[in-house]
Amino acid sequence: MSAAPLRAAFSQALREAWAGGAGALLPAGFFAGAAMLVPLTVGTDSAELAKIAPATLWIALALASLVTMERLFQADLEDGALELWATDETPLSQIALAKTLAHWLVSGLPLMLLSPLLSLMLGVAPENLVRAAVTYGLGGLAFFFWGAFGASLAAGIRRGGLLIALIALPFYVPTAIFGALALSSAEAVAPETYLLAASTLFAVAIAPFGMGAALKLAVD
Amino acid sequence: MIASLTPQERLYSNLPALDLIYRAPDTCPMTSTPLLSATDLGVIRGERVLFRDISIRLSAGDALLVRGSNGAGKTTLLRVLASLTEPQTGNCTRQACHWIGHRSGLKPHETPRSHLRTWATAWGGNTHQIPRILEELSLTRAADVEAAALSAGQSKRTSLARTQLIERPLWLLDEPFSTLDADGKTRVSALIASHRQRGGAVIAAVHGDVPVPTTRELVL
Repeated sequence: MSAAPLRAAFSQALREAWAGGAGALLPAGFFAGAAMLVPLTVGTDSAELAKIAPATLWIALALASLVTMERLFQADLEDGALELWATDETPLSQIALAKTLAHWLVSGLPLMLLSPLLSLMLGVAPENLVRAAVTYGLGGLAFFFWGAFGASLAAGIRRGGLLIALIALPFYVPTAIFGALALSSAEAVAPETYLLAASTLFAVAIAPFGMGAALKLAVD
Repeated sequence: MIASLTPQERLYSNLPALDLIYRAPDTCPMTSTPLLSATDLGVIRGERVLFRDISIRLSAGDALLVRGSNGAGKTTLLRVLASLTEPQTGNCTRQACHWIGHRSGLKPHETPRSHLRTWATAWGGNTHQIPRILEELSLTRAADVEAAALSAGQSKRTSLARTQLIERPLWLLDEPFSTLDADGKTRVSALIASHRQRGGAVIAAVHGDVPVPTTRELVL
């Protein structure tokens, strides 16, 4: 099996994401907007804000990752591209992997890049910003993979956005727990960071197989 | 000595005489590998038996036209043969196929040219051939128009153009002539004829008169 179909699926997904205008940056806007509401509702005590900043950003990140998930596979199902992938020899799970990575690159990576700014806004100490961004990046990758798994299961359902959230959110639990613990620890690299990395690795390794099976059903 | 060639060699050979030799599976079924062999296919939709006990055997040069009223199950049969839909009974083995369904497979922001380039890359086809293929289907003027602005016939031509990107022995065409104008019909029937000449086989779901000299028809 060659890597050419995966490269084609990846670049096709990238092109479509960018061709749609700024739609790909919608999660980033959502992420920033949700984080911005916190000081307005909690108050401006900077010590208190800094304390709840990681929790706030994890929640905002989790929800932002779901914003554009609905179209990830649904569009392919509607325009017939999924049928073409399904009649190809390449397993659908690998196509799903390529598409999810492309989706993360376009919509997930900006969240990670935006997180230092939002952390700073919430009063996180500047020396912790890089560590926090890496942690959000790791966790965000897991969110995108579980979200894509939900999207594959809901691909055939109109307005399945909420369903995707219901399917995916339970899978977000380990990432949320380890992520929050990793950032609340005083150590530079907390043991929980490794557990977070492990749960992300698990998501990246397992979710594509679930997506493959779900898409096979969706195309039927 | 020609009969000692492998099916692959026969398929890609352009000798017209091979067509005749290879087309005699009924007299010597053990010596030729069919391009598609399906036995006792049956599909149930809801509480209705869509079709049952359908057996198909296709050899090089064959064209099978599937006819039947709307909702008779033509598309479903083709989808079963393309392994997109799982049949309730029977099984199907076949060689690599091109699937041209109702949905064109074009993404909203793709143009015929970029669409063909994507799939040429995915399938390992030669991208230098794309201008010639566009010419062949008279798509040159529409080559750089986004899919959303293409007419139904132009989308159909684009999806049929995929069959020219790489050689696959079997074409599964779901109403290939619908939405095509007279010129389109001529061009597509020429493609089908030359594909059969090269030792390929075609199964098409059709309505009414079609410009394809048939070897067999199946009425659902």
